[in-house]
Amino acid sequence: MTDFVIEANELRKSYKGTAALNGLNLRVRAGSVYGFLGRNGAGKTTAIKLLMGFLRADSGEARVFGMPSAGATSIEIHRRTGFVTEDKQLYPYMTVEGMIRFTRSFFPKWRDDLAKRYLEMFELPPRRKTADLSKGMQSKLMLLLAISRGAELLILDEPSDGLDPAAVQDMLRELISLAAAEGTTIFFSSHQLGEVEQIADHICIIDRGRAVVTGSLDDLKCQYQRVQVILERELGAPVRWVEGAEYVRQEGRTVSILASRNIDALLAQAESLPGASVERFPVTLQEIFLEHVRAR
Amino acid sequence: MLWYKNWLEMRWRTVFIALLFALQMFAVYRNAGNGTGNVVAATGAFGYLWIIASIMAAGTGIRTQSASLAAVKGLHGSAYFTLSLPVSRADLFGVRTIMGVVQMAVIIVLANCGLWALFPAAQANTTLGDAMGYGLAVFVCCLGFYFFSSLLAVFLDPTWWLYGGLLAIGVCWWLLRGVQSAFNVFKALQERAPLITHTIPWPAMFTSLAISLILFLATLRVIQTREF
Repeated sequence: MTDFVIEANELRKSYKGTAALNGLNLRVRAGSVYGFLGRNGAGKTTAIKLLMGFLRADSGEARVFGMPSAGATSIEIHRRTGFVTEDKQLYPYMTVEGMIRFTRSFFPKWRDDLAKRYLEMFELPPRRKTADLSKGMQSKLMLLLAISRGAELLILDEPSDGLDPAAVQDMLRELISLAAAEGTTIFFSSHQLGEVEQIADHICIIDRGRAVVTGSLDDLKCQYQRVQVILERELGAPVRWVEGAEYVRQEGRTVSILASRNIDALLAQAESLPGASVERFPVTLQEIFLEHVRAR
Repeated sequence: MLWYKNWLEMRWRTVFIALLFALQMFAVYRNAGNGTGNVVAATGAFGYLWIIASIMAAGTGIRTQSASLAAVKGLHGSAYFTLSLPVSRADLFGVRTIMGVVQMAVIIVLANCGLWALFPAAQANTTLGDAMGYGLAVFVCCLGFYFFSSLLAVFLDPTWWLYGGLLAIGVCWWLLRGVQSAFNVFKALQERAPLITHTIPWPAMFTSLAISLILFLATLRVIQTREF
Protein backbone atom coordinates (compact mmCIF):
# COMPACT_ATOMS: atom_id res chain seq x y z
CA MET A 1 0.00 0.00 0.00
CA THR A 2 1.44 3.33 -1.06
CA ASP A 3 1.61 6.45 1.16
CA PHE A 4 0.75 8.63 -1.78
CA VAL A 5 -2.84 9.65 -2.45
CA ILE A 6 -1.91 11.03 -5.86
CA GLU A 7 0.81 9.67 -8.10
CA ALA A 8 1.58 10.72 -11.66
CA ASN A 9 4.38 9.13 -13.61
CA GLU A 10 5.67 10.68 -16.83
CA LEU A 11 2.22 11.93 -17.72
CA ARG A 12 1.90 13.22 -21.28
CA LYS A 13 -1.07 14.77 -22.97
CA SER A 14 -1.35 16.70 -26.24
CA TYR A 15 -4.17 18.60 -27.87
CA LYS A 16 -3.97 18.66 -31.66
CA GLY A 17 -0.20 18.23 -31.58
CA THR A 18 0.43 20.81 -28.84
CA ALA A 19 1.83 19.30 -25.66
CA ALA A 20 -0.12 20.30 -22.56
CA LEU A 21 1.68 17.86 -20.29
CA ASN A 22 5.18 16.80 -21.10
CA GLY A 23 6.24 14.09 -18.68
CA LEU A 24 4.68 15.34 -15.43
CA ASN A 25 5.64 13.55 -12.23
CA LEU A 26 3.71 14.13 -9.01
CA ARG A 27 3.64 12.55 -5.56
CA VAL A 28 1.10 13.81 -3.07
CA ARG A 29 1.36 12.30 0.40
CA ALA A 30 -1.78 11.51 2.43
CA GLY A 31 -2.73 14.36 4.77
CA SER A 32 -0.65 16.99 3.02
CA VAL A 33 -1.76 20.37 1.69
CA TYR A 34 -0.27 20.49 -1.77
CA GLY A 35 -0.09 23.69 -3.82
CA PHE A 36 0.02 23.23 -7.58
CA LEU A 37 1.45 26.34 -9.21
CA GLY A 38 1.98 27.46 -12.74
CA ARG A 39 1.32 30.19 -15.23
CA ASN A 40 -1.76 30.21 -17.44
CA GLY A 41 -1.50 27.32 -19.89
CA ALA A 42 1.23 25.58 -17.90
CA GLY A 43 -0.86 22.39 -17.75
CA LYS A 44 -2.44 22.60 -14.29
CA THR A 45 -6.05 22.09 -15.36
CA THR A 46 -5.12 19.35 -17.82
CA ALA A 47 -3.32 17.52 -15.01
CA ILE A 48 -6.35 17.90 -12.74
CA LYS A 49 -8.70 16.63 -15.47
CA LEU A 50 -6.46 13.59 -15.90
CA LEU A 51 -6.51 12.95 -12.15
CA MET A 52 -10.32 13.15 -12.19
CA GLY A 53 -10.54 10.79 -15.18
CA PHE A 54 -12.13 13.33 -17.54
CA LEU A 55 -9.22 12.92 -19.95
CA ARG A 56 -7.00 10.00 -20.87
CA ALA A 57 -3.23 10.38 -20.93
CA ASP A 58 -1.35 9.84 -24.19
CA SER A 59 1.27 8.03 -22.12
CA GLY A 60 2.28 7.70 -18.50
CA GLU A 61 0.04 6.86 -15.61
CA ALA A 62 -2.05 8.76 -13.06
CA ARG A 63 -3.19 6.99 -9.89
CA VAL A 64 -5.43 8.31 -7.13
CA PHE A 65 -5.79 6.27 -3.92
CA GLY A 66 -3.61 3.73 -5.71
CA MET A 67 -6.21 3.24 -8.48
CA PRO A 68 -5.94 4.25 -12.14
CA SER A 69 -7.66 7.62 -12.47
CA ALA A 70 -9.44 6.78 -15.74
CA GLY A 71 -11.89 3.96 -16.39
CA ALA A 72 -14.11 2.04 -14.02
CA THR A 73 -12.12 2.94 -10.89
CA SER A 74 -12.89 6.63 -11.35
CA ILE A 75 -16.29 6.11 -9.69
CA GLU A 76 -14.62 4.92 -6.47
CA ILE A 77 -12.15 7.82 -6.71
CA HIS A 78 -14.99 10.32 -7.13
CA ARG A 79 -16.80 8.83 -4.13
CA ARG A 80 -13.80 9.70 -1.97
CA THR A 81 -12.93 13.04 -3.58
CA GLY A 82 -14.33 16.55 -3.32
CA PHE A 83 -13.78 18.59 -6.46
CA VAL A 84 -13.98 22.26 -7.36
CA THR A 85 -13.95 22.91 -11.10
CA GLU A 86 -12.00 25.72 -12.70
CA ASP A 87 -15.14 27.31 -14.19
CA LYS A 88 -17.34 26.90 -11.05
CA GLN A 89 -20.40 26.12 -13.19
CA LEU A 90 -23.38 24.48 -11.50
CA TYR A 91 -26.91 23.68 -12.66
CA PRO A 92 -28.50 27.08 -13.32
CA TYR A 93 -32.05 25.76 -12.87
CA MET A 94 -31.43 24.51 -9.32
CA THR A 95 -31.54 26.56 -6.16
CA VAL A 96 -28.70 26.57 -3.64
CA GLU A 97 -30.58 24.14 -1.38
CA GLY A 98 -31.56 22.06 -4.42
CA MET A 99 -27.88 21.74 -5.36
CA ILE A 100 -27.05 20.68 -1.79
CA ARG A 101 -29.85 18.07 -1.74
CA PHE A 102 -28.85 16.79 -5.17
CA THR A 103 -25.13 16.43 -4.34
CA ARG A 104 -25.85 14.99 -0.90
CA SER A 105 -27.71 12.04 -2.46
CA PHE A 106 -24.51 10.69 -4.05
CA PHE A 107 -22.29 10.74 -0.97
CA PRO A 108 -23.00 8.39 1.97
CA LYS A 109 -20.45 10.26 4.12
CA TRP A 110 -22.05 13.64 3.44
CA ARG A 111 -21.51 16.08 6.31
CA ASP A 112 -24.72 17.97 7.08
CA ASP A 113 -22.93 19.84 9.87
CA LEU A 114 -20.33 21.22 7.45
CA ALA A 115 -22.95 22.08 4.82
CA LYS A 116 -24.97 24.02 7.39
CA ARG A 117 -21.90 25.79 8.73
CA TYR A 118 -20.67 26.90 5.30
CA LEU A 119 -24.15 27.93 4.22
CA GLU A 120 -24.19 30.36 7.13
CA MET A 121 -20.54 31.36 6.97
CA PHE A 122 -20.64 32.09 3.23
CA GLU A 123 -24.08 33.74 3.57
CA LEU A 124 -25.51 31.74 0.69
CA PRO A 125 -29.24 32.34 0.02
CA PRO A 126 -30.78 28.81 0.07
CA ARG A 127 -33.72 29.59 -2.21
CA ARG A 128 -31.87 31.51 -4.89
CA LYS A 129 -31.14 29.78 -8.20
CA THR A 130 -27.45 29.27 -8.89
CA ALA A 131 -27.83 31.20 -12.16
CA ASP A 132 -28.65 34.28 -10.09
CA LEU A 133 -25.58 33.99 -7.86
CA SER A 134 -22.51 36.16 -8.35
CA LYS A 135 -19.29 34.45 -9.41
CA GLY A 136 -17.98 34.68 -5.85
CA MET A 137 -21.17 33.09 -4.48
CA GLN A 138 -20.91 30.29 -7.05
CA SER A 139 -17.33 29.66 -5.95
CA LYS A 140 -18.46 29.51 -2.32
CA LEU A 141 -21.27 27.08 -3.16
CA MET A 142 -18.86 24.92 -5.12
CA LEU A 143 -16.53 24.81 -2.11
CA LEU A 144 -19.41 23.91 0.19
CA LEU A 145 -20.43 21.06 -2.12
CA ALA A 146 -16.84 19.79 -2.33
CA ILE A 147 -16.01 19.97 1.36
CA SER A 148 -19.33 18.58 2.64
CA ARG A 149 -18.87 15.36 0.65
CA GLY A 150 -16.88 14.09 3.62
CA ALA A 151 -14.06 13.38 1.20
CA GLU A 152 -10.60 12.06 2.00
CA LEU A 153 -9.14 14.13 -0.82
CA LEU A 154 -10.03 17.60 -2.07
CA ILE A 155 -8.95 18.54 -5.58
CA LEU A 156 -9.52 22.24 -5.99
CA ASP A 157 -8.84 24.04 -9.26
CA GLU A 158 -8.36 27.75 -8.49
CA PRO A 159 -10.71 27.59 -5.46
CA SER A 160 -10.32 31.27 -4.53
CA ASP A 161 -11.22 32.52 -8.01
CA GLY A 162 -13.90 35.19 -7.64
CA LEU A 163 -13.73 35.36 -3.83
CA ASP A 164 -13.19 38.61 -1.95
CA PRO A 165 -10.17 38.83 0.39
CA ALA A 166 -12.26 38.12 3.51
CA ALA A 167 -13.81 35.02 1.90
CA VAL A 168 -10.36 33.86 0.78
CA GLN A 169 -9.16 34.06 4.39
CA ASP A 170 -12.23 32.13 5.59
CA MET A 171 -11.63 29.49 2.95
CA LEU A 172 -7.94 29.11 3.79
CA ARG A 173 -8.72 28.82 7.50
CA GLU A 174 -11.31 26.11 6.82
CA LEU A 175 -8.97 24.17 4.56
CA ILE A 176 -6.23 24.23 7.18
CA SER A 177 -8.62 23.04 9.87
CA LEU A 178 -9.93 20.26 7.60
CA ALA A 179 -6.42 19.04 6.93
CA ALA A 180 -5.51 19.24 10.62
CA ALA A 181 -8.70 17.85 12.16
CA GLU A 182 -9.83 15.28 9.58
CA GLY A 183 -6.53 14.44 7.88
CA THR A 184 -8.01 15.43 4.53
CA THR A 185 -5.48 15.64 1.72
CA ILE A 186 -5.80 18.90 -0.16
CA PHE A 187 -4.46 19.34 -3.68
CA PHE A 188 -5.14 22.80 -5.05
CA SER A 189 -4.01 24.88 -7.98
CA SER A 190 -3.66 28.62 -7.67
CA HIS A 191 -2.13 31.72 -9.14
CA GLN A 192 -2.16 33.38 -5.74
CA LEU A 193 1.27 32.63 -4.33
CA GLY A 194 0.39 34.30 -1.02
CA GLU A 195 -2.44 31.79 -0.49
CA VAL A 196 -0.21 28.87 -1.31
CA GLU A 197 2.50 30.12 1.01
CA GLN A 198 -0.07 30.52 3.76
CA ILE A 199 -1.43 26.96 3.79
CA ALA A 200 0.61 24.59 1.61
CA ASP A 201 3.17 22.30 3.14
CA HIS A 202 4.27 20.94 -0.24
CA ILE A 203 4.32 22.56 -3.66
CA CYS A 204 4.85 21.73 -7.28
CA ILE A 205 5.64 24.43 -9.83
CA ILE A 206 4.67 23.28 -13.29
CA ASP A 207 5.87 24.95 -16.46
CA ARG A 208 5.20 23.83 -20.03
CA GLY A 209 3.75 20.56 -18.81
CA ARG A 210 6.67 19.57 -16.57
CA ALA A 211 7.28 19.89 -12.85
CA VAL A 212 10.21 22.30 -12.48
CA VAL A 213 10.20 22.52 -8.67
CA THR A 214 8.69 20.05 -6.21
CA GLY A 215 9.09 19.52 -2.52
CA SER A 216 8.26 20.63 0.97
CA LEU A 217 7.77 24.40 1.14
CA ASP A 218 9.94 24.68 4.25
CA ASP A 219 12.73 22.66 2.64
CA LEU A 220 12.56 24.73 -0.52
CA LYS A 221 12.78 27.95 1.45
CA CYS A 222 15.83 26.65 3.29
CA GLN A 223 17.34 25.23 0.15
CA TYR A 224 16.95 28.34 -2.00
CA GLN A 225 18.93 31.47 -1.19
CA ARG A 226 19.52 34.68 -3.05
CA VAL A 227 23.15 35.75 -3.23
CA GLN A 228 23.74 39.36 -4.15
CA VAL A 229 27.20 40.45 -5.27
CA ILE A 230 28.16 44.11 -5.69
CA LEU A 231 31.34 44.43 -7.66
CA GLU A 232 33.97 47.17 -7.70
CA ARG A 233 33.64 47.41 -11.45
CA GLU A 234 31.69 45.60 -14.17
CA LEU A 235 33.05 42.21 -15.18
CA GLY A 236 34.66 42.02 -18.60
CA ALA A 237 33.52 38.45 -19.28
CA PRO A 238 30.66 36.40 -17.84
CA VAL A 239 31.54 34.33 -14.78
CA ARG A 240 31.06 30.57 -14.85
CA TRP A 241 29.38 30.04 -11.49
CA VAL A 242 29.61 26.82 -9.50
CA GLU A 243 26.85 24.24 -9.74
CA GLY A 244 23.75 25.25 -7.80
CA ALA A 245 23.48 28.78 -9.23
CA GLU A 246 20.06 28.35 -10.86
CA TYR A 247 19.47 31.81 -12.29
CA VAL A 248 21.93 34.69 -12.58
CA ARG A 249 20.97 38.24 -13.43
CA GLN A 250 23.53 41.00 -13.85
CA GLU A 251 22.70 44.69 -13.96
CA GLY A 252 25.75 46.92 -14.07
CA ARG A 253 27.94 46.12 -11.05
CA THR A 254 25.22 44.09 -9.30
CA VAL A 255 24.88 40.35 -9.78
CA SER A 256 21.85 38.56 -8.33
CA ILE A 257 21.98 34.78 -8.10
CA LEU A 258 19.21 32.37 -7.12
CA ALA A 259 20.96 29.34 -5.72
CA SER A 260 19.40 25.99 -4.92
CA ARG A 261 22.46 24.20 -3.43
CA ASN A 262 26.21 24.55 -2.93
CA ILE A 263 25.61 27.89 -1.24
CA ASP A 264 28.94 27.93 0.60
CA ALA A 265 30.94 27.24 -2.53
CA LEU A 266 28.98 29.92 -4.36
CA LEU A 267 29.64 32.45 -1.60
CA ALA A 268 33.34 31.62 -1.64
CA GLN A 269 33.43 32.04 -5.41
CA ALA A 270 31.63 35.41 -5.18
CA GLU A 271 33.95 36.64 -2.44
CA SER A 272 36.97 35.72 -4.54
CA LEU A 273 35.98 38.28 -7.16
CA PRO A 274 38.05 41.49 -6.86
CA GLY A 275 36.44 44.03 -4.52
CA ALA A 276 33.20 42.07 -4.23
CA SER A 277 30.70 42.74 -1.47
CA VAL A 278 28.56 39.61 -0.96
CA GLU A 279 25.28 39.19 0.89
CA ARG A 280 22.79 36.31 1.10
CA PHE A 281 19.02 36.60 1.61
CA PRO A 282 16.20 34.15 2.20
CA VAL A 283 13.80 33.91 -0.73
CA THR A 284 10.03 33.96 -0.96
CA LEU A 285 7.92 31.46 -2.86
CA GLN A 286 7.18 34.23 -5.34
CA GLU A 287 10.88 34.63 -6.13
CA ILE A 288 11.33 30.89 -6.64
CA PHE A 289 8.25 30.79 -8.84
CA LEU A 290 9.14 33.82 -10.95
CA GLU A 291 12.75 32.79 -11.50
CA HIS A 292 11.71 29.33 -12.65
CA VAL A 293 8.91 30.30 -14.97
CA ARG A 294 10.58 33.42 -16.40
CA ALA A 295 13.85 31.75 -17.15
CA ARG A 296 12.37 29.16 -19.50
CA MET B 1 -31.62 12.36 -7.96
CA LEU B 2 -30.33 12.00 -11.52
CA TRP B 3 -33.97 11.55 -12.52
CA TYR B 4 -34.85 14.84 -10.87
CA LYS B 5 -31.95 16.65 -12.56
CA ASN B 6 -32.95 15.27 -15.95
CA TRP B 7 -36.57 16.19 -15.41
CA LEU B 8 -35.61 19.78 -14.58
CA GLU B 9 -33.53 19.92 -17.76
CA MET B 10 -36.18 18.35 -19.97
CA ARG B 11 -39.47 19.74 -18.65
CA TRP B 12 -39.89 22.73 -20.99
CA ARG B 13 -38.84 20.70 -23.98
CA THR B 14 -41.38 18.06 -22.90
CA VAL B 15 -44.14 20.66 -22.74
CA PHE B 16 -43.18 21.97 -26.18
CA ILE B 17 -43.16 18.49 -27.73
CA ALA B 18 -46.44 17.64 -26.00
CA LEU B 19 -48.06 20.71 -27.53
CA LEU B 20 -46.64 19.79 -30.92
CA PHE B 21 -48.02 16.26 -30.68
CA ALA B 22 -51.39 17.49 -29.42
CA LEU B 23 -51.69 19.86 -32.37
CA GLN B 24 -50.77 17.10 -34.81
CA MET B 25 -53.24 14.68 -33.32
CA PHE B 26 -55.92 17.34 -33.20
CA ALA B 27 -55.48 17.93 -36.93
CA VAL B 28 -55.53 14.21 -37.75
CA TYR B 29 -58.67 13.48 -35.74
CA ARG B 30 -60.41 16.63 -36.84
CA ASN B 31 -60.05 15.35 -40.38
CA ALA B 32 -61.06 11.80 -39.49
CA GLY B 33 -64.75 12.57 -39.63
CA ASN B 34 -64.40 13.94 -43.14
CA GLY B 35 -63.31 10.72 -44.73
CA THR B 36 -60.20 8.60 -45.16
CA GLY B 37 -58.62 10.93 -47.74
CA ASN B 38 -58.31 13.70 -45.21
CA VAL B 39 -56.80 11.36 -42.61
CA VAL B 40 -54.20 10.27 -45.18
CA ALA B 41 -53.32 13.86 -45.95
CA ALA B 42 -53.08 14.91 -42.30
CA THR B 43 -51.17 11.79 -41.26
CA GLY B 44 -48.71 12.16 -44.13
CA ALA B 45 -48.07 15.82 -43.49
CA PHE B 46 -47.51 15.38 -39.79
CA GLY B 47 -45.22 12.38 -40.11
CA TYR B 48 -42.38 14.87 -40.58
CA LEU B 49 -43.20 16.67 -37.37
CA TRP B 50 -42.92 13.47 -35.33
CA ILE B 51 -39.45 12.97 -36.73
CA ILE B 52 -38.47 16.54 -35.85
CA ALA B 53 -39.92 16.14 -32.35
CA SER B 54 -37.98 12.92 -31.72
CA ILE B 55 -34.75 14.58 -32.88
CA MET B 56 -35.38 17.46 -30.49
CA ALA B 57 -36.23 15.16 -27.61
CA ALA B 58 -32.84 13.45 -27.73
CA GLY B 59 -30.53 16.40 -28.01
CA THR B 60 -29.53 17.09 -24.48
CA GLY B 61 -27.05 15.64 -22.08
CA ILE B 62 -23.49 16.04 -20.98
CA ARG B 63 -22.19 17.32 -24.32
CA THR B 64 -24.47 20.36 -24.22
CA GLN B 65 -23.19 21.20 -20.75
CA SER B 66 -19.50 21.43 -21.54
CA ALA B 67 -17.66 24.53 -20.41
CA SER B 68 -16.84 25.51 -23.98
CA LEU B 69 -20.56 25.96 -24.63
CA ALA B 70 -21.31 27.81 -21.40
CA ALA B 71 -21.51 31.13 -23.21
CA VAL B 72 -24.23 29.88 -25.54
CA LYS B 73 -27.66 31.00 -24.40
CA GLY B 74 -29.53 28.37 -22.44
CA LEU B 75 -26.50 26.16 -21.96
CA HIS B 76 -24.21 25.83 -19.00
CA GLY B 77 -20.78 24.44 -18.31
CA SER B 78 -21.71 22.07 -15.54
CA ALA B 79 -20.36 18.94 -17.27
CA TYR B 80 -17.30 18.70 -15.00
CA PHE B 81 -19.42 18.94 -11.88
CA THR B 82 -21.64 16.13 -13.18
CA LEU B 83 -18.67 14.01 -14.19
CA SER B 84 -17.10 14.47 -10.74
CA LEU B 85 -20.05 12.64 -9.14
CA PRO B 86 -19.58 8.95 -8.30
CA VAL B 87 -21.76 7.85 -11.20
CA SER B 88 -20.66 6.02 -14.32
CA ARG B 89 -21.10 7.65 -17.70
CA ALA B 90 -23.26 4.68 -18.67
CA ASP B 91 -25.63 5.50 -15.82
CA LEU B 92 -25.72 9.19 -16.78
CA PHE B 93 -26.55 8.28 -20.37
CA GLY B 94 -28.92 5.48 -19.35
CA VAL B 95 -31.04 7.68 -17.09
CA ARG B 96 -31.17 10.42 -19.72
CA THR B 97 -32.19 7.90 -22.39
CA ILE B 98 -34.88 6.24 -20.30
CA MET B 99 -36.37 9.62 -19.41
CA GLY B 100 -36.34 10.77 -23.03
CA VAL B 101 -37.94 7.56 -24.27
CA VAL B 102 -40.58 7.53 -21.51
CA GLN B 103 -41.32 11.18 -22.22
CA MET B 104 -41.97 10.37 -25.88
CA ALA B 105 -44.09 7.32 -25.04
CA VAL B 106 -46.29 9.17 -22.55
CA ILE B 107 -46.83 12.12 -24.87
CA ILE B 108 -47.68 9.93 -27.85
CA VAL B 109 -50.06 7.64 -25.95
CA LEU B 110 -51.81 10.44 -24.09
CA ALA B 111 -52.15 12.72 -27.08
CA ASN B 112 -53.28 9.90 -29.36
CA CYS B 113 -55.76 8.04 -27.17
CA GLY B 114 -56.92 11.18 -25.37
CA LEU B 115 -57.80 13.03 -28.55
CA TRP B 116 -59.42 9.93 -30.07
CA ALA B 117 -61.68 9.71 -27.02
CA LEU B 118 -62.43 13.43 -27.08
CA PHE B 119 -63.33 13.66 -30.76
CA PRO B 120 -66.45 11.67 -31.63
CA ALA B 121 -65.79 12.38 -35.32
CA ALA B 122 -62.58 10.40 -35.13
CA GLN B 123 -64.48 7.34 -34.01
CA ALA B 124 -66.42 7.24 -37.30
CA ASN B 125 -63.48 6.00 -39.37
CA THR B 126 -61.02 4.71 -36.77
CA THR B 127 -61.23 2.46 -33.74
CA LEU B 128 -59.44 2.91 -30.42
CA GLY B 129 -57.29 -0.03 -31.54
CA ASP B 130 -56.25 1.95 -34.63
CA ALA B 131 -55.42 4.94 -32.46
CA MET B 132 -53.35 2.83 -30.07
CA GLY B 133 -51.68 1.00 -32.93
CA TYR B 134 -50.87 4.31 -34.53
CA GLY B 135 -49.38 5.60 -31.25
CA LEU B 136 -47.30 2.42 -30.90
CA ALA B 137 -46.05 2.66 -34.49
CA VAL B 138 -45.16 6.33 -34.11
CA PHE B 139 -43.33 5.67 -30.86
CA VAL B 140 -41.32 2.69 -32.10
CA CYS B 141 -40.54 4.21 -35.50
CA CYS B 142 -39.45 7.48 -33.88
CA LEU B 143 -37.03 5.64 -31.57
CA GLY B 144 -34.64 5.21 -34.50
CA PHE B 145 -34.62 8.96 -35.08
CA TYR B 146 -34.29 9.60 -31.35
CA PHE B 147 -31.18 7.46 -31.03
CA PHE B 148 -29.70 8.85 -34.23
CA SER B 149 -30.11 12.34 -32.76
CA SER B 150 -28.67 11.13 -29.46
CA LEU B 151 -25.52 9.92 -31.23
CA LEU B 152 -25.14 13.18 -33.14
CA ALA B 153 -25.50 15.20 -29.93
CA VAL B 154 -22.36 13.54 -28.59
CA PHE B 155 -20.26 14.95 -31.43
CA LEU B 156 -21.90 18.17 -32.53
CA ASP B 157 -22.68 21.43 -30.79
CA PRO B 158 -26.41 22.14 -30.31
CA THR B 159 -26.86 24.12 -33.51
CA TRP B 160 -25.08 21.66 -35.77
CA TRP B 161 -26.66 18.72 -34.00
CA LEU B 162 -30.18 19.95 -34.86
CA TYR B 163 -29.43 21.05 -38.43
CA GLY B 164 -27.17 18.05 -39.03
CA GLY B 165 -29.82 15.66 -37.71
CA LEU B 166 -32.57 17.16 -39.81
CA LEU B 167 -30.41 17.27 -42.90
CA ALA B 168 -29.21 13.67 -42.54
CA ILE B 169 -32.73 12.35 -41.95
CA GLY B 170 -34.05 14.51 -44.78
CA VAL B 171 -31.51 12.93 -47.13
CA CYS B 172 -32.51 9.43 -45.93
CA TRP B 173 -36.18 10.22 -46.50
CA TRP B 174 -35.43 11.52 -50.01
CA LEU B 175 -33.37 8.45 -50.88
CA LEU B 176 -36.08 6.09 -49.57
CA ARG B 177 -39.12 7.97 -50.87
CA GLY B 178 -39.68 5.55 -53.75
CA VAL B 179 -38.96 2.39 -51.74
CA GLN B 180 -42.27 0.66 -51.05
CA SER B 181 -40.79 -2.01 -48.77
CA ALA B 182 -42.67 -2.83 -45.57
CA PHE B 183 -39.38 -2.16 -43.75
CA ASN B 184 -39.40 1.52 -44.74
CA VAL B 185 -39.81 3.43 -41.46
CA PHE B 186 -40.80 6.67 -43.21
CA LYS B 187 -43.75 5.00 -44.93
CA ALA B 188 -44.94 3.54 -41.62
CA LEU B 189 -45.30 7.07 -40.29
CA GLN B 190 -47.20 8.22 -43.36
CA GLU B 191 -49.22 6.25 -45.93
CA ARG B 192 -48.72 2.89 -44.12
CA ALA B 193 -49.73 4.28 -40.73
CA PRO B 194 -52.32 2.16 -38.81
CA LEU B 195 -54.85 4.98 -38.93
CA ILE B 196 -54.97 4.47 -42.70
CA THR B 197 -54.19 0.78 -43.23
CA HIS B 198 -55.73 -0.46 -39.93
CA THR B 199 -52.75 -2.80 -39.53
CA ILE B 200 -49.61 -2.49 -37.42
CA PRO B 201 -46.44 -1.96 -39.54
CA TRP B 202 -44.37 -4.62 -37.75
CA PRO B 203 -41.49 -4.88 -40.28
CA ALA B 204 -40.84 -1.13 -40.14
CA MET B 205 -41.07 -1.20 -36.35
CA PHE B 206 -38.55 -4.05 -36.09
CA THR B 207 -36.25 -2.14 -38.44
CA SER B 208 -36.48 0.91 -36.20
CA LEU B 209 -35.84 -1.15 -33.06
CA ALA B 210 -32.77 -2.78 -34.62
CA ILE B 211 -31.40 0.60 -35.71
CA SER B 212 -32.15 2.01 -32.24
CA LEU B 213 -30.26 -0.76 -30.50
CA ILE B 214 -27.20 -0.32 -32.72
CA LEU B 215 -27.22 3.47 -32.30
CA PHE B 216 -27.73 3.19 -28.52
CA LEU B 217 -24.75 0.86 -28.14
CA ALA B 218 -22.61 3.04 -30.42
CA THR B 219 -23.49 6.17 -28.42
CA LEU B 220 -22.81 4.42 -25.13
CA ARG B 221 -19.42 3.31 -26.39
CA VAL B 222 -18.54 6.84 -27.54
CA ILE B 223 -19.67 8.42 -24.25
CA GLN B 224 -17.60 5.98 -22.21
CA THR B 225 -14.42 6.74 -24.11
CA ARG B 226 -14.92 10.39 -24.97
CA GLU B 227 -12.84 13.12 -23.32
CA PHE B 228 -14.56 16.14 -21.87
